[in-house]
Amino acid sequence: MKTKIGQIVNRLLQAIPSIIGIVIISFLLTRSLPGDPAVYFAGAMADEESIQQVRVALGLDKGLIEQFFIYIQNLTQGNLGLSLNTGVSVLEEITTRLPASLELTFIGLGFAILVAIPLGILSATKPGSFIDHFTRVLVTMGVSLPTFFTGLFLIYVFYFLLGVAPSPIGRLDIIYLSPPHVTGFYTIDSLLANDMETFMASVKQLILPSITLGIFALAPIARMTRASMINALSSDYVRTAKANGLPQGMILVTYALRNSLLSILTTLGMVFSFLLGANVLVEKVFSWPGIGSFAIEALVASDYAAVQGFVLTMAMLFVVVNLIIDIVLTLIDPRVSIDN
Amino acid sequence: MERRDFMRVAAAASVLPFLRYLPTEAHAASRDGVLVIVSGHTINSLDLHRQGTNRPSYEVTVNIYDRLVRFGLKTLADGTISYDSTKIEPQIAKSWEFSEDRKSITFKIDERAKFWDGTPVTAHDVKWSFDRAVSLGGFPTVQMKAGSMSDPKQFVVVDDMTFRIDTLIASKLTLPDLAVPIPFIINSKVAKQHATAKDPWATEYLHKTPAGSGPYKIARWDAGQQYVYERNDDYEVGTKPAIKRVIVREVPSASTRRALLERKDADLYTDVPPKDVKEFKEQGKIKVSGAPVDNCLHVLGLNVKYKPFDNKKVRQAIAYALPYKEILSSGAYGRGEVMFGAKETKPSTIKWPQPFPYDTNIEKAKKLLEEAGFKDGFETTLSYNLGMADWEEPTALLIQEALKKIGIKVKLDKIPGANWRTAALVEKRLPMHLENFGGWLNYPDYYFFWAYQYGHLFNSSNYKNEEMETLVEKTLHMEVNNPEYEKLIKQMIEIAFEDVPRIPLYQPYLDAAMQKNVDGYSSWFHRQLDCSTLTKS
Repeated sequence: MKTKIGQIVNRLLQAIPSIIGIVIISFLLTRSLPGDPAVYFAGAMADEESIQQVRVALGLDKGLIEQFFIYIQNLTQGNLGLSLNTGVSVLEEITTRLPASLELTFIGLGFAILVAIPLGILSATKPGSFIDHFTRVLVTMGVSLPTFFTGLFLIYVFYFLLGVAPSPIGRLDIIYLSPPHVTGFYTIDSLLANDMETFMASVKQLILPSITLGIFALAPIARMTRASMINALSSDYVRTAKANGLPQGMILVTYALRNSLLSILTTLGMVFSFLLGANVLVEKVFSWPGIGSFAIEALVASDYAAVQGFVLTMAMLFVVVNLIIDIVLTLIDPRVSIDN
Repeated sequence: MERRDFMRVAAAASVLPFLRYLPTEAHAASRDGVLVIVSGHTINSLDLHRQGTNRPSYEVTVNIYDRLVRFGLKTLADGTISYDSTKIEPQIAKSWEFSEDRKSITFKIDERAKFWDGTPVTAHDVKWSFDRAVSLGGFPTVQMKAGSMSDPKQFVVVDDMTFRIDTLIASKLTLPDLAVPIPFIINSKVAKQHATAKDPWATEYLHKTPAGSGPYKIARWDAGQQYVYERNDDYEVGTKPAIKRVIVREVPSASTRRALLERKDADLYTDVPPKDVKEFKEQGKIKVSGAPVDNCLHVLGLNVKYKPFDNKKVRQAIAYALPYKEILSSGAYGRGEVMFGAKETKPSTIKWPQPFPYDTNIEKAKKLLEEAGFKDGFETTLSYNLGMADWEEPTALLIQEALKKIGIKVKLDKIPGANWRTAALVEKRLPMHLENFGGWLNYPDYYFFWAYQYGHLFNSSNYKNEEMETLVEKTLHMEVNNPEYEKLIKQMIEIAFEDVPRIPLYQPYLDAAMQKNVDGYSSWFHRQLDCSTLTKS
């Protein structure tokens, strides 16, 4: 057990340099963006004088190093600055938008796992069979269809033609008001408020966009499950288990799947990270008020504070996700406890 | 629609406590009196004077605040309602009077004008708001300057209900400039309560909490998602709006906006791409309304700072080579006013914009190019704004193809939106580019002031002509009925015809698409939606 705790602490410490690096890089990256925010935000008719006024107001007339220290100082106070593009503080934007993106991503990922892992297992047990070919086709489609296309296609069929899906205008239909803020996840918050109507409404809004994301996320999960299951199934311990006459189900789940879990989990971590990125287009198509659409608009406007806040949040999120995955792997990896 | 009805009833029964902002809807189980607008843009402030307030936010100002005066409305030949730049009507001011020398205007304030909190609008509020507009800097200050207003000393409170503006010169632009969105009147008592030493103009407070007297109030603003207008039931200085509640929902994807409208989940949206306008018109299920934007042109700018565009003959050659008809039909899907093919080289009227005397004539273009010494053509770069790819992308391709015919090899250069203003307007470093400028005040001299005078923001061609400089200076503040005016404006337009640093492609339309039961849409120079005239049956 000691080794495990030691390893976990070690992992936590390793995250610190990454965080410092992220802070510096996010600052430098935003400053190297093309476009002059002062010009953009001075407005349509701004003359040189008013552009200069905006520049001073934004603190952009100061040197790069000075700007960096102001940035660090603000960061330590939890102040991420003001998003000029939306007129709201970046922290507030991120705290309201991140849950929206996460809720969508989690459900999309959940959908992908529910479909991909059984498919992967099935095609691994019967390589070359009909189910294996079906999985291959599905996986190929999943990766090759751009998310915005899948999204628009689903909207066209289920909303526009059939009229069974709710209108794609974000997290809730126009007639509903957001539930009282607790976690920021509308499904959870509405349940906490014991408001089944809003809960159902938010679930309905989630269906199409999360399927869109899920289809995209299917491929790597299914492929990794299949590959590692094939690997496990041809291993010595499975052969031994078979020779001992253990039941098929037990061999599959206890021996093969458990041993495949390490690589599947690692893939899940990666998929989660890039799903957050893929969110951008899905959010745009479904008018989802998430962090991706926020970042895109901020980029277009050279909105420094917003882009910095976004990069910082995403990078921190990656660090946290990787940490969690690492820790879980440490906990479930039998090899770690062997030397104990 | 059954699903929707069911949901409404269900919603009314169980989520009543949460439906604070849509009570009528939940009670009456219908959308009567509620108008749903979908918009592709995000607003970033409820205060137009604040630095960095973006263009979509102007709409809020138009609907929630009043000005001293406003423009009237007119009906165009095709039935579209449009603002009338020649008609100035009372709003907060019930009457006004010019002094003998026309250097000051005295306004009598309407006693019926009340802020939302019930307090009457006084001259003190007007002065505070105007002082604010000229003091905060940025766009408001520039726009006030256009009406010769730049110093708080010019704004005088004569008594509680009388307000005077003194200008250094008599200008025809002062009065119309009071009807644009900028000089809106704020409840100064409320604002002052929230002003601090660091923020004397209460920008932080008014940014999220407007204090006005306009026909609508803001009931809710969820940044990046939606905002909701609620009718001001005590509104008296104008017609009370017919629609009780207007919900503006942000929908970034244009195809989703269109789907929402076609499925009748939305009532209206503005800034409809010309392609959709064409298809809506053909299908006939969705109503489209729009008018050409006054004083606005889509142009091809030729930067005279760069060779060979410093040569007038080269510019004229290009003006003869452009495929105007194709640009209008396949770039703009027909939604534009023709700005080419005038018969005379001298303008016969002072209408602006008006067609230029160029038409596609490759032979003439080749000849001019040869005279200029570029028989074999040359190579150049055509830049356009990715943020306006909608019309600029197809237009740029058509221009590239057409110029190939006279030997000019054009490389296309897309510039992202954030970078565009710096490159095109501030540094003015794009040799050949697509530009769009529309002046808020509908006078030719006002357009020329911004786009043809040297050093001015929208003169992206670096054009400089001494005669033009004097003409603009002479006419800018001159009254339209001055006998000199017409002659000078004609001279001005003639120079523009001859020199073509900006080749007009067409005058664009601003279109809105709406359900058939929505009426009263009016088209404005500021390109924002005035909700107060809308009705829904």
